[in-house]
Amino acid sequence: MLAYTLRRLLQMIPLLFFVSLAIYTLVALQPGDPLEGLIFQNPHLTQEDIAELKHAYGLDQPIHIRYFKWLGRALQGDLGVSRTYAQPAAEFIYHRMQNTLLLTGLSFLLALLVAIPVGVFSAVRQYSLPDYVVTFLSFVGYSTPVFWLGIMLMLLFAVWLPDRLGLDHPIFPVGGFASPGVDPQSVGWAAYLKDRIWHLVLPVFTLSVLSMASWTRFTRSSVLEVLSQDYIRTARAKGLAERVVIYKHALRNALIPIVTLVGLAIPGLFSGAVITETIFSWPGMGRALFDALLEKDYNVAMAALVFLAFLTALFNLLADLAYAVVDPRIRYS
Amino acid sequence: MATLAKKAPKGQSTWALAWRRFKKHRMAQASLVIILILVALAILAPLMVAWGWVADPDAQPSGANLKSFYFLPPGAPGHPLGTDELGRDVLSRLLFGGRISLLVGFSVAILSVIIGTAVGALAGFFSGRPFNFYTGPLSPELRRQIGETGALASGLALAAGLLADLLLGGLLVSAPAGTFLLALLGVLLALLFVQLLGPKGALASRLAWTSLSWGLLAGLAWLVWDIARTLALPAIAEGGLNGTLSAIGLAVAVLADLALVLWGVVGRLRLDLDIVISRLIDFMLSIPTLPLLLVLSAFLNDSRSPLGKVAHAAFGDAASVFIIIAILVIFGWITSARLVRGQVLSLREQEFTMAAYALGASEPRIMFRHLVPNALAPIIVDATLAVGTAILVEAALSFLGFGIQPPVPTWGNMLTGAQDFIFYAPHLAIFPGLLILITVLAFNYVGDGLRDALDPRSRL
Amino acid sequence: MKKKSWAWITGLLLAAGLAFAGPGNNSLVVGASQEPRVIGDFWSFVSSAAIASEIENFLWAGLEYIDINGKDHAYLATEVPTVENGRVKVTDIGKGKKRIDIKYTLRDDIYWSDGTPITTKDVAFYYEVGKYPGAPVQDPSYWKRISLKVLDDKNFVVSFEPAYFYDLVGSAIGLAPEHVMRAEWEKTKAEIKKLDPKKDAAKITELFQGFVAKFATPQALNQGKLVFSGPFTLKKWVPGSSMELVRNKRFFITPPGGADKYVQRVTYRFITDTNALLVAILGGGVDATSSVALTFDQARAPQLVRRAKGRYQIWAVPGVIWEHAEVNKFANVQEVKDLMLDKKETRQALLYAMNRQGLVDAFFDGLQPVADTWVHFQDPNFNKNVKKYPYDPEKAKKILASLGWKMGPDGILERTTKDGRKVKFVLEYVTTAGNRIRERTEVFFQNDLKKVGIKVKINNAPASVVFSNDFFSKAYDGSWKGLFEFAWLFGIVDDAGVFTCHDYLTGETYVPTPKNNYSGVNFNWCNEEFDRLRAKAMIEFDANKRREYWQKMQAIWAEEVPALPYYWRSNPIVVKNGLVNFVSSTYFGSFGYPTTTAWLIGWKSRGAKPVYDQAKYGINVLEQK
Repeated sequence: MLAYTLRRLLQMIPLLFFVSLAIYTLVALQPGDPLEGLIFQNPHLTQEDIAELKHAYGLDQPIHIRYFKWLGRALQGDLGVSRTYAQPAAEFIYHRMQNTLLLTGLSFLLALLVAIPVGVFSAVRQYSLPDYVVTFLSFVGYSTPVFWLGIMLMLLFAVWLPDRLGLDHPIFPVGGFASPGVDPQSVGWAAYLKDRIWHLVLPVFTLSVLSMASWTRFTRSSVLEVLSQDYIRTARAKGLAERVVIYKHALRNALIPIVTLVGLAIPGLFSGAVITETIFSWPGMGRALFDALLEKDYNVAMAALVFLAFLTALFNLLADLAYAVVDPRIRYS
Repeated sequence: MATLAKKAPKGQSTWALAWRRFKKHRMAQASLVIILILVALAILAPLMVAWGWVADPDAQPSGANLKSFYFLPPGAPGHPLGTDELGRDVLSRLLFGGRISLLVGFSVAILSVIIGTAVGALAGFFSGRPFNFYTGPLSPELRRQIGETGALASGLALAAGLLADLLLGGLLVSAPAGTFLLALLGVLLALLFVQLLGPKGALASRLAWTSLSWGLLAGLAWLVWDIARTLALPAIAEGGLNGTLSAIGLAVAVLADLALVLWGVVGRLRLDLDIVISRLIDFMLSIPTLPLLLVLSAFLNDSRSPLGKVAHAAFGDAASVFIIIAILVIFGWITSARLVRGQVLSLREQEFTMAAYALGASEPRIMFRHLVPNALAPIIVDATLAVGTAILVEAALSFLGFGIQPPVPTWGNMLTGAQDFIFYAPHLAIFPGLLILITVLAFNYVGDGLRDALDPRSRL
Repeated sequence: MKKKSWAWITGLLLAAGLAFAGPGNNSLVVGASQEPRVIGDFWSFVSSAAIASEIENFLWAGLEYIDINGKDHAYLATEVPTVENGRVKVTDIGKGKKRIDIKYTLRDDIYWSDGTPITTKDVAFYYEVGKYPGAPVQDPSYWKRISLKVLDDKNFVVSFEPAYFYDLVGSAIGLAPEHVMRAEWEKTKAEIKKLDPKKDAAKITELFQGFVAKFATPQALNQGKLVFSGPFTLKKWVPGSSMELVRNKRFFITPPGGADKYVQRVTYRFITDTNALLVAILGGGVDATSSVALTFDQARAPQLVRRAKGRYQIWAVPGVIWEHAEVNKFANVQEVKDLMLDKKETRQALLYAMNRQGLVDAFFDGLQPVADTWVHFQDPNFNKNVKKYPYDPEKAKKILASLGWKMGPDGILERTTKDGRKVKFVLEYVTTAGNRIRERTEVFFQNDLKKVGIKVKINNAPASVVFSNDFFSKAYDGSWKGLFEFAWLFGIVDDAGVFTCHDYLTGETYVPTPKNNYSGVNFNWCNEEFDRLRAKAMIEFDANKRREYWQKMQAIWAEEVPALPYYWRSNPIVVKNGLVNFVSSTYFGSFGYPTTTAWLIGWKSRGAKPVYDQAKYGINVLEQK
């Protein structure tokens, strides 16, 4: 197991190398350069001035040189400085990361907490009315475009409902992660937490809908699969209580594929956050990446993308390992 | 023996049985009807404009007091779903947007499944053995020579293809037929090379022809899609024949080249094709998809990048449609490839495969007549679900401004604009999203129904 | 049950609402749709965003500021240097060039927020860093021309060689707190010295940015790494959310009635999605909007207007953004030659045929004024007696007929060229795709031009494409062949560089052709008289004489119409009733920042005295309706 883990970790090195090469090429090959807009701010700039600026930002070098320079520094742990934020790219991404982590972490928890019980319930009551409702809702859930859902929630809670109820305030705030001036010192912890949670409601819900729906569906079919197995019939024949059959025998085995699926879905949650963060003005990494791509802030874009790639590779590995932990039949060598 | 196989009526009854099972799934049936209606509406949209049933999607009001034509609410006379910020008819734009969404959905699903099936089948079939169809009693020496010339030939074809694809980008635009010929010439030259310098019978080796035919097959798929596109988008297909021909040229060249290179490299280095493809899939899977889609489409959609230039010259306004389809296929084939690989891996060990070998069937025949058809059920289900996914992803990209560019209406880019006017005209945001939801939901239900029908054992 | 929960929610919201109510605790919440990346980047090594400048007005004082009427006003300096008061010395240095020496004296009562007096050391430090070789400055010309001589603790002379009139507008030089930044700068300098300026330019740039980052990033500011000289100091910056500013006790100006009558705490809320920002305003969580906030349409959203009565004022303040269409005048481009776009008569006819007032009325309720030339009507040099082009399709038709155009059977003008070809008047119109206002504008004009027989062919592309060098600057090669609608920003120090063909002072030519490697943005309008007048005006430091030149230039421009002026964009500002002196004008603080005299912002109910009247500088949107 340890050898296997080490081997997989080693394999990640060439993988990340190729991913970074591919991403860098694509990012740097984007037509136009970051300085193109300068002429509009300052029409006096001569061609000479622009050439000087290009040189100052290292944009006059060919892409492969830039890549290897970047790689050389990245290997020493230096991901460069953000052109637009002046901060080291890694540090900047780390700060933004914390906000994203909060958002995705809560969405992940919410999705799991809803999906597994509802999925099990739906499977146990297969072909009942609640099962049909759950099935329908989960289908709707993963057919809904996330960005549209976000806009609709905004419309509902910020425009329509307040209008209907004659409120001056939106029911839920639709942007940012906290009200200004609301901090533990000035309003107390309870009010502070309430404010933070209030801001989280819409983004977390929006981000979790997709995973909630697909995990519910997956749990349901996984449990159904297990319930049709012989050992469940044996357990029932033994006269075990249905509760014991389901929670002790069926659920544990049904969890195996769920763990894999969930593990593999985590990196997706991070990149999916781009859209949610854009809609709800959430200052997370996805939003930062999106801006960096638009503004051609190469160092930030690279730091974020390589980090996401690393995360993906890591969770792929973790999913495989977790699989082995949950299912004793699996042995890696 | 052969007659016996022909007589077996099993095939027919499988499908009939499946249909009967599908009919039991009421939601799936209803969804199928919805999809048919949507497809019919999409096909008929231009006619509906011609008949005067709906307004022209691009027509903007003119004359005095323009302001009174913007943001009309649903139910306004002549505009059942109202008008948008430029006074254009929302219903009509939704219909035309649907054409694009469905076109993208179907094209991406079909192309991904074709490519994914091909790659997956090859990977599964050649897993753990040399990447060579068994071609009869060739001496090891001869086989080595075939491998060598194959590698050389593929290099040559690649050079010719590259010449056509990149260096002569300008030529490609102005004389697509010429490029097409150039690309074909490259492949033919390579084959001639094999014939002249290779060992006797090398050209006759099925492998050479297999790779060529894969290239042609993909080119053909491209052609079919392109004809569909030309028919579906007469108004914006300014590129017309030029676009069609250069697309075929490009597709044939690139795919044939890729096939030959794969053959040459894998065959020459005696790698396990399955491992090569699995690594490639791992690589693709660890790329963060959404951000990369953004990067890729920003790159390709820009008319200044080499490929963007070609696409814009060939397809005009519709270039971004073509580009988005291409991008979604780049990531879309992986699912079906993994699926088919798994299926083929297990199918090739089963008795009926042994039986086919015993009967003297050739390997390509076993692969295409026995293994792939038996994996068809999950492939069909996968394709159906892929349509929905593609529609969703396209909408998300267009929403973020990186997808299909205006003035071509799609449900996704209609929403981008709508966001700016959500206070004035919420209907602009509601309808496109609702249509995406309904369409994707319908495809998911049909996929579910098909799974129940075709593959009753799996319940995912 | 249901009712109860609603009541609970409402109660909670009210409680939350109280936490940031404005006059209650004499504070102010400003909503902005952008967030600065750094604050206190004195040399603009990193960025120079409008939102950063607006907020920096709260935190740092310059030598001078541009007041609400667009005039210079002394700030840290004792007085505005002029020729009359003997502080400005103009010297002729030959070859038609001039040099100016500007003597400043710093006030005696000025301190950084930590109590250190502000002296010429801080000016010298600013100069040393900006002038250092390899510094990634955004305006190289300024740094090449400037030099500094410190006389004593309070007196110094700034010189420009060659000098231009705009060197006298606003502060001639900046300041940076030497006593807090010196140590870090010495470290950075040592690092830079180790590097080769040729080979490691990118690394040097990073070092400069890293130096700024030690002070100007949210983390550094929150650790109190910087000191302030403006009316406020920065208390806390939560990136992605808000920034809190509190009154600077050391600030040297006392507003009428005492500082405690004015706003004590200012919070910037950053909500990047303008819809969400609008929702925040509707919810009462924002007292005023920044100069970078709502779009013009959003400020007039029915939800806002309906709720604004008695609570908010909504103002449209004319800005310096000039919406116009550039005309390709390169006669070597076939289409240009065929349509005679290089002839002024053709351009005049186009302007007569375009109903600009009608457009402004239809789309903006007339709130964005029609432009006559490139000079803003608030500019002191504005010439209101230039040739104007009111909507007159008949006149347009006449001019076109005199140019040889005849109406074709399809309703499109046509003519036979000298070489015997028949050409139709089909005019290409390019603008940024996705910009709804521009997309509406072009259709509006398409319609107008159709009436005189001109067919407009729309050819839009995304901003990244149309503004790329390959497209924008290559009109000579016909990358765009007719009209190109976009906007220029003409601040108070505009030097007409956009319309200059030949610069007699530097010898450069600003017409982008292969000859000069496509530099410049003048699409082939060369008027010698205009260029000569400009060359004179550029080195004329007497405002009255300069105005004469400038007015003549406008007359020439209006006759020739090298570009088609559309309208001046207005900036919407939303303020709560009772907030005073949060006022914007066209040139306030150069670009209309309502924060230029931040010490005066306050609530009427808390005793703040109104000094400015917004109605003098903007149009009340609510009354307009």
